[in-house]
Amino acid sequence: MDFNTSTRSKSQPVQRNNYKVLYDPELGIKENLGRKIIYRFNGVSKPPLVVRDPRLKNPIYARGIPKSGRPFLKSLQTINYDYNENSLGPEPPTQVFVSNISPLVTSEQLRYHFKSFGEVFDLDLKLNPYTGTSLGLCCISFDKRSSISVAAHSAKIAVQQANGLRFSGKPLSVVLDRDGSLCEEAFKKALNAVEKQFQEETLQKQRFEREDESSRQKLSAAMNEDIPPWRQPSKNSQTLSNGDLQHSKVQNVDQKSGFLTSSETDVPKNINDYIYLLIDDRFVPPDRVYYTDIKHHFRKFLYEKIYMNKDGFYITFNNYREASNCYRALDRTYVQNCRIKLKFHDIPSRTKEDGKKSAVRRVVLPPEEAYAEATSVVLRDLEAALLRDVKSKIIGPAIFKYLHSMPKPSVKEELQENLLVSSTSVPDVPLKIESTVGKLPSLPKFKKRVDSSKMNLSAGSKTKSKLQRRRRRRHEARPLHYQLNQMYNSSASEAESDQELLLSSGDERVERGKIGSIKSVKSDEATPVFSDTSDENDKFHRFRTKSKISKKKYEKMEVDYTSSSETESDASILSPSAAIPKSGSAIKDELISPKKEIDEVLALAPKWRINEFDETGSVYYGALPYNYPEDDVLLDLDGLQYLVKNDEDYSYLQEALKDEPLMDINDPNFWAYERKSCKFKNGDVKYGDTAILPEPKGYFRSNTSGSAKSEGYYIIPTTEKSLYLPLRNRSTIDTISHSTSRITSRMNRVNNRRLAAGVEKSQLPAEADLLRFNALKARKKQLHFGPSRIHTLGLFAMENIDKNDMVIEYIGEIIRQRVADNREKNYVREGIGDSYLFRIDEDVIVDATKKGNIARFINHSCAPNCIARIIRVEGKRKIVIYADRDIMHGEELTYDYKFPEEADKIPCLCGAPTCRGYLN
Amino acid sequence: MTTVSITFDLLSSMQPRKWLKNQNFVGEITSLSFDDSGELCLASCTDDTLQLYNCISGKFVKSLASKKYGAHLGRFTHHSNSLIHASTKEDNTVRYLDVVTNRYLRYFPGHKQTVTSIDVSPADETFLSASLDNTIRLWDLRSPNCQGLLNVSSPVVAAFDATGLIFASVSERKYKISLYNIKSFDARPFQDIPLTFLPPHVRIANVEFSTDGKYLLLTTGNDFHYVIDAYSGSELLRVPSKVSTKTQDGNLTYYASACMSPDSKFLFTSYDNEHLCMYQLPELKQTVNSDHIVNSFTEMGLASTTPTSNSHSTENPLAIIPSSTSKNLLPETPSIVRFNPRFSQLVTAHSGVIFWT
Repeated sequence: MDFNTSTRSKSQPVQRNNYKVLYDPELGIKENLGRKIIYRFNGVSKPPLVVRDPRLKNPIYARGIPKSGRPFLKSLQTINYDYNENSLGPEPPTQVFVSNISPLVTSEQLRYHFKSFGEVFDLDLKLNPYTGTSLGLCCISFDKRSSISVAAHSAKIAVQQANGLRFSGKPLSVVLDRDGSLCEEAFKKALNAVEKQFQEETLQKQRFEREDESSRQKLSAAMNEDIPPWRQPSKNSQTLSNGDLQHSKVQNVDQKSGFLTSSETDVPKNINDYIYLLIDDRFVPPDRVYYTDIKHHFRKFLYEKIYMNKDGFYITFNNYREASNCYRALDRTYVQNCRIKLKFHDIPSRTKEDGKKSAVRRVVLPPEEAYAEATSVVLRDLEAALLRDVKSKIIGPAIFKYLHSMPKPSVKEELQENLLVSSTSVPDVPLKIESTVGKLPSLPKFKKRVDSSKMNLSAGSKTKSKLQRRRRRRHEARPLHYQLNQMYNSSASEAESDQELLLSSGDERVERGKIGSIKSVKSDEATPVFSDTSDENDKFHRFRTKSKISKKKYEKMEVDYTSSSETESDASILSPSAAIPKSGSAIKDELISPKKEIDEVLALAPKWRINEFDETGSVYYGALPYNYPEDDVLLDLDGLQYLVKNDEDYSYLQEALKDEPLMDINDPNFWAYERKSCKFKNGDVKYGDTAILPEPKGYFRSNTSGSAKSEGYYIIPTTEKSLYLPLRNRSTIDTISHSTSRITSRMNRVNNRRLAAGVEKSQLPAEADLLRFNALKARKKQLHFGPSRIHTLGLFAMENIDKNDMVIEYIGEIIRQRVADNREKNYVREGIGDSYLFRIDEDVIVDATKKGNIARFINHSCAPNCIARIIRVEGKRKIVIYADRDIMHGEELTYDYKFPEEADKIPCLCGAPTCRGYLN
Repeated sequence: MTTVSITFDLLSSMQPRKWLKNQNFVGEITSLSFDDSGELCLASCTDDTLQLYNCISGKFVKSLASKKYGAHLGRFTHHSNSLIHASTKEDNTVRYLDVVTNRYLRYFPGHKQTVTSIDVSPADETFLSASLDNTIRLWDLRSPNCQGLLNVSSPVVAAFDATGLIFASVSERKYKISLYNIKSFDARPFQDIPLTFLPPHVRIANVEFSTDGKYLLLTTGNDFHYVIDAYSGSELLRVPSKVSTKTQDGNLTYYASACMSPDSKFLFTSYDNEHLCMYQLPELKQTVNSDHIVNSFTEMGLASTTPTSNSHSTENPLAIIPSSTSKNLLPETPSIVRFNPRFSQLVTAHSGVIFWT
């Protein structure tokens, strides 16, 4: 083929000749060389060809050509391949083995943490098979389904970043684990260790048992015959034949384990110097009760040591108190189904021995420490008491309340039961009221209670002193929180006595707490803390004197407490200002009348007392500033319950509701419950609270049907709308006529006219002209422009403008129609979208775009407050804006533009109710 | 990707990473070529296809079928989108193929018999082709005209050095290497290196210069590969060749089963189906007087014997890689071993391509 090319040339190369092409036109034509290939054959050329080694004269020959395909390089780039199915060799590790994990760390925590490195596919936290606790070993494999290299990278990162990281206080150890073998190995190791430990533990346990037994046996061997049958020494195999398998097992284990550490449990000789509890051996058969069992049984007490011998177990104590506590708690309890009877052994002549400390091993604390300990114990007890109170008074009722708030099909029965038993959430008395509203049944409950109190009263004269004592205690129990507070404030020396008082009264509190509702607790808690002790004392004093005066009252009060505390608690939330005025002398009279009983009770409530005492400390029974609380109370169930306080009230209520038709409510209790829970779920009040009607704030429209939703469709007047839509155009606001401004305005006009008339009379045309002009100008109102709700800028009145008063003249260039057309186009082109052209007639237009006054800012409205009139002044037509109605200060001025109808609609934004929607 | 200097540790720690066994073809790979960037690898196969691989991602890229003409000695031009290859069918024309469109850009006709080697000049657009018709032709990619013709004793292989200034042609029959200046190859070679150490009836598979131009690697189809001083022509190294050259087609046994690293310090040959052998090239100390070249063989730690030009001794391999015998055997003994010019990557091929990094 190559001969084709050579045939073209004249000097056709001989095939055997070597040749080199010197000029190939294909590689670039040179005009002087023509279009023919120039060959050189066998190296023959005009200047003889020098054949030489090009390497020798080239100093950089060895460097090659760096950018060519075969560069001389001393360093290379590395390649990292992703692992895929083409890859050779083992997969990169995608698992990590994490060890030294805190046993508290859960697998979820680990997973969450390692998720930050990559998608975790599997997380295997090794667990102790015996206990289920974490062994602190974990194998985490990253998800390699999508990409192995990503998973491998994740594993690598995890090792880099998580290794040594402190996780729950322990530094993690993270290593790559290709096939999980590391983890398996560690797991096996840990498992072995655990098993070993477990075995050791069991061994040790058995050894202990063995020791116990053998030590006992040792002693008992030397001792008496009255050993119970199971106490017989069993070291020889013959005794095993009695079939006590457990025993034999223990025996075997003991033999295997070999030695005994009997010294640990041997009873010391001076055991009598200890305070100890003795469990007689008769109660603890050694084949059933072991040392560890006893240890476990007494774990909650601060015993010193447990010894044992053939007599049984000796549990020694450092502390008499602890020992007695322990004795009280654990006497006649069961250990391994064996009822143990404790024998309490005190140090003989304990009282004396306090002095001789050296003789007794018991630790006698120095007075400071003893004191500290005593206070700590006292505090602990107090804490316990407080906790108990909180539980019974707050948490219990709260749970009850919660349970009650859940409507259940069987709630009726339950509810009734509850009401009868505790009546925590639904007060009794009001319920009765409700039912009487429906059915008019017998007397309300408090009536009955009064009766019972009467009975008490009659019978109570005999047991006066007793009742008085009880009443006193009641009285003490009542302001418990004062006492509590006082106790904490008082000095340490008083602490003990106070505490005793508290403890004694605490029981009563618990009692009361059972029947007390949350409200009563709340009211108690709401009582302020009195840091001033003198005040406190004073108050107490007063309280006591008062209580002496009214002894019978307390009897009733007692009844009241036990029967129903709701009324009291209800009453206690009465606002202080609602004190019912009564005189001090009236008390005794009223005491006799049971109707006033509750009021009396109220008078005793702490809150009341606080309010009744003035600075001088005397009771103030005068008329307090009185506003009727009933006015604020919503008359629903709670409200009625709140308002009806006694029979009198009730009778009034009945009277008031006489005309009401009877409603069919099946079970008054359940009905009341439903109503109350419904109210509670609506969420505006707390359960059982009397609602105080909310103060109307801002715009308020009272709906006759009770709800805006049930009102149906109705039109809210624009004036009303503007009350709650602040940005609403106020052009339609109802004006309150200000007579003064009207008068002045009119007066001005009249005066001006008079002036003008006077001037006219003077027959000075030039001046008249001036005056006319001025007249228009003078009549201009105070206006200013500002942002408008209707459209960009608007004009606002800065004074009250009367109807038919001139507001402002519309001033601008007076142009012809054609000019106006041109200008309009120009304005549109310039971007002035708003039109300030005002047509006077066919061919005369006022253009206020470039030259004019602020009248051009007046916006259009479909319900305008102004009107534009074209008037003639001195033969010239002028546009004057007049008020169409009275305009208030601050109102925006509008008039109807009266644009001709066009196809190109301009939307109207005036917001008037009669808005046409478009300007044109 | 990071750049690391070429050290013994780097090279000896190479592991086979990817085995791209191509399901599409059933033949063997007869030649491997890299483009200038070292990113693409071109394999010519006996089933008349050219396979393109991406060396960086280790993935198969493209298969270019040349069923009509056959494919042999595929070489990238300086532009990685075009390649040249020799034909095995129809005629022995060298063809210039565009990879993207899979169209031939130009034919380079001239050779009467099978082309035995093609080498693209690293300096310009020219390339050499040697053929069994006892000629070496010089071509320019831009011109269909043959740029030069050289009659040699056949059979012959030819190769450019790294600068493109000279090329070497090895004639089997004359047992000599002739070095030509590219500017005056038509006159006579400027140096003839007698290959007196070669055994009779040797089959020269390939010849190539090291990147620094100091060594000539002579790959044979016989028992040994030889490393020759490119200046003095003395034999520096003789390494055993483990490649069986038996193929179904006797003419195409020109496998470059040995290669040198880009820093011209190491030599790689295939050893068995698991391992490659790595040898250290003996250092040359060139005196100022270039005519007199003293070979001073430094005693390398692992090089047990110092080969001399007369000793004909084989050197023990510096290392056998991979050093750790992995469980999964390589599927076959590689017949071709090439080192990527830019990356620390070896590519071996027989029926598939294996990437070593």
